[in-house]
Amino acid sequence: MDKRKYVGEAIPRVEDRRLVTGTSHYVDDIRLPEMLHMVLVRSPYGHARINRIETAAAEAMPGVVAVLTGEAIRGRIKSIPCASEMEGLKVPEHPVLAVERVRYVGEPVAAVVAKDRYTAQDAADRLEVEYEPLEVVVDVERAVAPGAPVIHEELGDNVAFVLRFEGGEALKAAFERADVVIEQRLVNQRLHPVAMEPRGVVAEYWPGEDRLTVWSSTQIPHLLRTQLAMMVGMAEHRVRVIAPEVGGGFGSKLNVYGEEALVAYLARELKKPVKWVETRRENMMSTIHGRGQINDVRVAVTRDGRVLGLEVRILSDLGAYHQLLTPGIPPLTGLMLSGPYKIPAIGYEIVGVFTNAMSTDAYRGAGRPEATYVLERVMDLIARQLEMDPVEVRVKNFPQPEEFPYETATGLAYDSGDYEAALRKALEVVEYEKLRQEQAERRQRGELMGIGISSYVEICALGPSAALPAGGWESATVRVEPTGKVTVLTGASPHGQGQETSFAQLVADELGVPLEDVYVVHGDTAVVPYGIGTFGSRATAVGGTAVYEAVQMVKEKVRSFAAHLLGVDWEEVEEGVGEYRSRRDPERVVSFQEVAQAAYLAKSLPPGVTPGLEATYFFEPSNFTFPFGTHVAVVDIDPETGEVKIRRYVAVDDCGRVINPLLVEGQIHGGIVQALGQALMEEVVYDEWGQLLSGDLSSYAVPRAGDVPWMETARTETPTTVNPMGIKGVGEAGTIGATPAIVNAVVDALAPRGVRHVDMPLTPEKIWRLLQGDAKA
Amino acid sequence: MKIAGKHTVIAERREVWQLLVDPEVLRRCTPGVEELRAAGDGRYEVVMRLGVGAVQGRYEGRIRVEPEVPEVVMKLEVEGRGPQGIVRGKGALRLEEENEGTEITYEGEVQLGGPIASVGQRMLQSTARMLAGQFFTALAAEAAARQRAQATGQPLQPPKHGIFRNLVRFLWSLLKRWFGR
Amino acid sequence: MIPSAFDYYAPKTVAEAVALLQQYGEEAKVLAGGQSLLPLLKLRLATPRVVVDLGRIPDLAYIRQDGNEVAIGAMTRHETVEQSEVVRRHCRLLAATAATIGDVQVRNRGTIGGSLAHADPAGDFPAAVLAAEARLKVVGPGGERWIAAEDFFVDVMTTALDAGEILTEIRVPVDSAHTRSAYEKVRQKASGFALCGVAVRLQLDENRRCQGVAVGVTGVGAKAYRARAVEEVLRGEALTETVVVAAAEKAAQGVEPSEDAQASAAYRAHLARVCTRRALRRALAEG
Repeated sequence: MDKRKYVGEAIPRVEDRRLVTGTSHYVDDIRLPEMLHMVLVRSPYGHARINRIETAAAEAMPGVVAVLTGEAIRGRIKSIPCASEMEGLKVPEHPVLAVERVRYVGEPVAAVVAKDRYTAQDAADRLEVEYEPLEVVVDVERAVAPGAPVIHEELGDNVAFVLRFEGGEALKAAFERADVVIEQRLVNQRLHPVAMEPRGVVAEYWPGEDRLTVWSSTQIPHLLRTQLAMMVGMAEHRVRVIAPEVGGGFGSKLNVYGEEALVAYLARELKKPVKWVETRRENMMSTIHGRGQINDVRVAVTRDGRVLGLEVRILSDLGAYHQLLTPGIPPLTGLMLSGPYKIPAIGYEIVGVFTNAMSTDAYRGAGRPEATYVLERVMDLIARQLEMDPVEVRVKNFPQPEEFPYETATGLAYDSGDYEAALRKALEVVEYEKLRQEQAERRQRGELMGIGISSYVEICALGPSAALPAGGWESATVRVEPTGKVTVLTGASPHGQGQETSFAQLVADELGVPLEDVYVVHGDTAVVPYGIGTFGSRATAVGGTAVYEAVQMVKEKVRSFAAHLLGVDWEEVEEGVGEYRSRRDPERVVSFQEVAQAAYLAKSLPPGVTPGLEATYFFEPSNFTFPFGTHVAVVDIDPETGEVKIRRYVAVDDCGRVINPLLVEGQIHGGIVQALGQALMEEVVYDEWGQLLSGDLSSYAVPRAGDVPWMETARTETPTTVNPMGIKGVGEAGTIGATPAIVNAVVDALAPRGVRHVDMPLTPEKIWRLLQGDAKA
Repeated sequence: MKIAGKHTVIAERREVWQLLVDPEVLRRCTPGVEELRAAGDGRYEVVMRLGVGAVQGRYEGRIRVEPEVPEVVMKLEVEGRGPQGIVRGKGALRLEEENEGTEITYEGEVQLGGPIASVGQRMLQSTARMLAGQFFTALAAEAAARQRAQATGQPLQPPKHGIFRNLVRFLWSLLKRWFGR
Repeated sequence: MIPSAFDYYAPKTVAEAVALLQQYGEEAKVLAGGQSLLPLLKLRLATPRVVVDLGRIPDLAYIRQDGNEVAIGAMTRHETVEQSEVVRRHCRLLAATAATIGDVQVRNRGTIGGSLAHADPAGDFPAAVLAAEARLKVVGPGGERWIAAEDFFVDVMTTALDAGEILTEIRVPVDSAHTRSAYEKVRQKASGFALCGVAVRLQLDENRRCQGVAVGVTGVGAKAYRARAVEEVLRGEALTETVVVAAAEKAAQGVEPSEDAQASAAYRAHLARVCTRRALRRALAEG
């Protein structure tokens, strides 16, 4: 009998209906009786001493319930946590409300709680804060220079950590042996994550039960619960965190924020529900930023284009404080510096630097896009210097399929891959040779056309617990209810990725039930077993594997009950779709529903089998996975305005086995769009006074539909050996692969004009200046 | 944001300088000033309504005026804070005698901070230029009023600049309509 | 993103609206399409005590031909201007310009009168009404008066509207068979406003000699302006490529281009030249 087959099918997301009809529930949709509203007063200065805060006028306003300052709640809420551990890491105190000093524009200084948001904002405007401005440093190179203002005086200077690594063969020897040494400074600019839904928190406290419920727009409900409980001094099991519908995160909600603790604290103190929803402006100022690295790169190469050694000095702009993973992001860049290449000797030094800016932290790709950018720019620089085709340089340095698992000089073991196959496929789709011909002809006519290639490998399915600060496993429960409906509880916390669909596909196939009979529950710590959350392209590869293992356990029990009901040994049970049959007597059939009911009625149990039909599994991965691929961008540049038009975009990605190609494609598309944003448009701008000039969406350019080219996607499929389903993960691939493809294409277009490198974003004016021969651009 | 410009006032350099250090004149000429109190040593405390079009805000702050070369170069510093953010500027005025009067060149830097910083910066330069223009137009009117008072022996009638500004605008548009094109 | 308190008035007639503006003076703000005012209110960068909504005044939204002019009510939405058969037939330039404003949502709410009265230095319609040599009807306490488009824009976000006056109608001379026009724009990527926008309208004779010309430029300086120097080069000439190129070179003459985090003054001036050249070429290619 045919097994129902959902896995591998392009099934539209079950989430879509509620999303597109506006009927789902975000934090801001939660309205509780007698709910109060919090508004924060934030620092307008990048660096200043707080001399005085006058709260009386605000407190006296009708409808105002409470005004809190950092001084007033000192010791009541613990420091905002940083989970990253590193030898010698300086961790400054990070109060939820600033005490004595503010260190970036947007830092919370006071909280006002009132009966409605309008009153709260009016009162916040009335609050008088007397600041004494201090010298500001936002430039990371200036921050480490002698005489720079020190942001945390108690820490001595602005260097939070220095991490040095050298691996593989001797680096010095590699450079001595090199025919050519190429040096380049690459800037990976700061970015705003700009999730569609800003952050938001609602908290409610029941004093009788001593129970705190917190709704937060988060990617990590369980980790947040643990941290919140510690921050506000409650027992963890009395705190319930719910992540309702979460409108995107991109890493910006993989964090524990001061506002989450403040709202929880206030709800408990005031014994009334309290709500805070971030405005877009706040979102730009005080939700974490991404990237922010300056990379000084040196590469040792042989005359025929083989890389002998790579040395990178990374200056990482951490911002004023550590958020949850701030210092943990740049080391991921170091770890990934081999990229998809065999580089025998790799050395890096990472200097993490405090600046008067919002913290940087995980943003889609988190450290890996920076590494890929370094490598892919370097490959093109080598090709340029040695007058080779960029394809040839890449192919020359790829490890061959039989060399897997491949050990990099940075200490990683790449699981599986065929990097050249993905590259060749991309070239075939884009018709590379024809394009190069066309380019030669158009260059004759003085036109600016460029072709950019980027081959990447990324580290996904985060990951073995030993390598992560707070556990890298994931949990799942699969429960068949008495009526035969199936509930799946996952510790992952999807917020747009579509696992309500893909996990249902997986479970429906395994149990032989219709897709709509499987309901996936996530994001509620009172309902779901402890889990880690959704980030690092891990939800399907790690969380999905937990679901897979749990459903195997349930299946076993289903078979026992079916055999028992049929009166046969379980070897003699034939599984159909939604029914079980005796092999000996095919007339004897029990339905899946009958099995489910019997398991709960428990009138008669198979020997040694307990009632109920439920299993929980905690999956611990043995390694990361390493998806890979090649992207190709073709651009035309308007020589008069400097505007870049992406004429073609081809992405070939290998994320191992695919449950739902539609979701994979969606992830690739979204990733490319965000990468395009970094390559061409986006940049967080602080002026030298520490003011955020990119603090709203009329100043900060995220790509709109009209900016996005048609994307041609294709796949190769190399299953991983790390998990039984062979899934690698795909959430960040697009962002990692696409940025250098676009930059390489633009630099290639400008090559006839003598341009060797341009730092992102490649705005029209920057390109126009280069075309004018203005070296300052 | 850097701004620079020049204006001519039909008056002797010494007279122009006198106007520039007179708190009453500053109060009348500086666009949007609601209160201005001399705090000594070239310092003034001000309350200003500043803005352009629909973007209007009330700022409390300080102005510091420092004669670097008396009657020639004056340094200026302004900082105002309000619910919309911070406005601050720093610059210098240079006075030079010209055939018809005194040419004032200004050069400086203006910055916005806090909530208004990112939305407002797009308009900052042109707004600063406009406000500077209004200031110097008013200053010229003050000079003219003084000369009139001297010539006629009548008591000085300080001009009302809001009305003056509108009048200039209106007349200008009339003139353009009649003679323009 | 929470406005401070204001009183909301929705007058039913222009006279009532004018009376309200007179009564509240500088403390009142007019709400037309709300595409600029509402964000400013939410950010509390505009904190008027009174908002006077023109949206409930019947008959401020219309498009009709009236002799040699097309009359457009001030409350006409951008989308309506873009789609209007009358506008498309008789003053194509306005329809072409409307199509480039913001995005669909903005065009569905924003109004031509609101855009002009707000006088954003990077607004699109100001360039178009300059090139179309429109005249604008304003109604105030002293009755109505007409202002030529060129006299309307005074400085950054500052117009010739006096206190208590409301812009009610825009009148544009109709295209003839010899009219050619185009709007060329480089968008500021974040906001969709014009980093530079150039509107041109030409009257050609049978020999494609330029009999009349008006060029409006937005996004470059503190306000939209007529590029008179460009017009002078074109007027009376046969519009060859050489003439077009020479004329466009003068697009930023006599203007102090703005500088901000989005673009330098030099780039803005450069774009003015490029957009003028392209707009002229496109207009000439029209027919």
